[in-house]
Amino acid sequence: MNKDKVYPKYFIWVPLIVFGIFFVIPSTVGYLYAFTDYSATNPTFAGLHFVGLKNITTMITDRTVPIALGNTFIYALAKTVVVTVLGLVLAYILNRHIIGMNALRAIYFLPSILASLVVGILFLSIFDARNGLVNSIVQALGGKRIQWLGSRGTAVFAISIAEIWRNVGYAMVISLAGMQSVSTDYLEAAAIDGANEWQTYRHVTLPLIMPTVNVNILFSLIYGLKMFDLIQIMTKGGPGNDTQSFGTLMYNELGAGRYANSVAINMIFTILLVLVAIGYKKFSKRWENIT
Amino acid sequence: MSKKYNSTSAGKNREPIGVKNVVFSILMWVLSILVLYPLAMVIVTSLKTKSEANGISMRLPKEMIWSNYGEVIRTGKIFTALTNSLFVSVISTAIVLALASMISYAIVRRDTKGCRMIDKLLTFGIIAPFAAMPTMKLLSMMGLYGSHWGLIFTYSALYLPFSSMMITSYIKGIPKDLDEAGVIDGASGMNLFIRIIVPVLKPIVATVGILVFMWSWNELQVPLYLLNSADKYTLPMSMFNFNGLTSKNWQLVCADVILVSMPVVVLYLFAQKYVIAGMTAGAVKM
Repeated sequence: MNKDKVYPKYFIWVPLIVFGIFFVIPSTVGYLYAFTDYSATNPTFAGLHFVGLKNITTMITDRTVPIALGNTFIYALAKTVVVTVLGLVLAYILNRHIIGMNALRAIYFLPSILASLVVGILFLSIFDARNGLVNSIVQALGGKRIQWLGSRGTAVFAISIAEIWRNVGYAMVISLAGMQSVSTDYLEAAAIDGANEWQTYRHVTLPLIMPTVNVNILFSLIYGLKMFDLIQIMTKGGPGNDTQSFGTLMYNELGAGRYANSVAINMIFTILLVLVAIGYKKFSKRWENIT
Repeated sequence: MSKKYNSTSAGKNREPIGVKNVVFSILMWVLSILVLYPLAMVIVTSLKTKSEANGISMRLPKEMIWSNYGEVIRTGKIFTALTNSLFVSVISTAIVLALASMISYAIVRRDTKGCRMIDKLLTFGIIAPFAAMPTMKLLSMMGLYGSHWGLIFTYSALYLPFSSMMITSYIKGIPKDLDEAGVIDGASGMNLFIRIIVPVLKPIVATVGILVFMWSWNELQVPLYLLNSADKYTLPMSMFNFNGLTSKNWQLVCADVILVSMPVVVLYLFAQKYVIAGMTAGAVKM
């Protein structure tokens, strides 16, 4: 059988060219802009000068990048931990004889198909200081109105809640699918050995669905680190730069005309994500061996 | 062995419910309010007058103002945005599906060292963030900046890796005998692919297609960088720039949210099985 005739090479080249031009080139060669003085006041290609690592060092010593770095990780970790745990717990409950199981699954999944812009608008109003749902509950309980989006701690919290609300159903459905694919042979064997429900879950089901959960965690981390829409709509990275993530900082630096800085952040961001992904894969392999 | 027990596994759900499960059922239904209540608030608020809608809330309006929807359609340029979104999402999805199935098929079947490296390169595409500014520059050099085609090609490149990852793991489960039977019948290359492989890929193509469609439909960040004129805006772009949002006309914002979300929600309700099956299948291997 002639491989080249049966599986022609252009099956690979054509997609690869599209991917190469529109993704790989901007994500590699394109980052060379990070080492220039490209800006709104110096926008032409001919006027560019090589400035070395200047943009990167100023960005790192500047307070905004450390804040954005911290926030980016807080958003991603808060979301990943809460969503994964809640997803597993809800799936565990739903994986029984529950009345209206299919309807419930559909309802919980609904937020994850909405645009995050839509979720952002919804929570912008829910956390609104004057007429928002949260503050009306706080007031009904005798508390004082809180300016949720007015300071770093509460704003980061509000944004994280919105992101968690959007993603719990998805995590739940994935965990549930994992649980349902566990062969009943194992469960019956555990029952014969006298394991109770929790022991069976902890020592049989959970290890078996761990690979699924792990991939889920990795995606949750990656998409969490890339968060943009929610923050841009809820706070625009403010007050000041207190709630910026890498995604919004990139966008807002561009809006402020500091093009090269935007590219520098983009590049640091890319390196960071690749490191996180590699690190997580190594870590999860070890972890799977332990559980 | 496991096949034999499948019947017992299905029978599990026919057990009597029991007190514990009733309690859990009630708990899950009560918790579902956390999802449903905010969504209901949006629907209620979309029917209020301006003075009633000082925030998104459940307080019922005196009478239902359906004209809010008309106003949003007029001032929010919903129809232009809808056509733009449809054009961009449909074509992007078609391109991604074609390219992803081709490359996945060839990579799995050829299985050389080079193929495995290409697979790694595609993984980079899942992990790395969108290179915003460089893509803008590239597109303007190509004369595609601000156009729908610029957006379409960018989406194609952005969504290709995830799609091909999903399709790859599916193709690994298709026996090579199928191709060989096709070769004996005299088919090869594109002919073999379209006549014999594509029909087998239908389920995964349906799922990936729905996913890519929804992603490109909901995407805000990419068009925010790549589109620069209001007549080219997609739905999320039109919503992001909707002036009701800055002036906090919540009744109009809510009507806008509903109009924009309607297509994906309807798609989800009709194709729920595929959406969920696909999203879970895709998460299994990487």
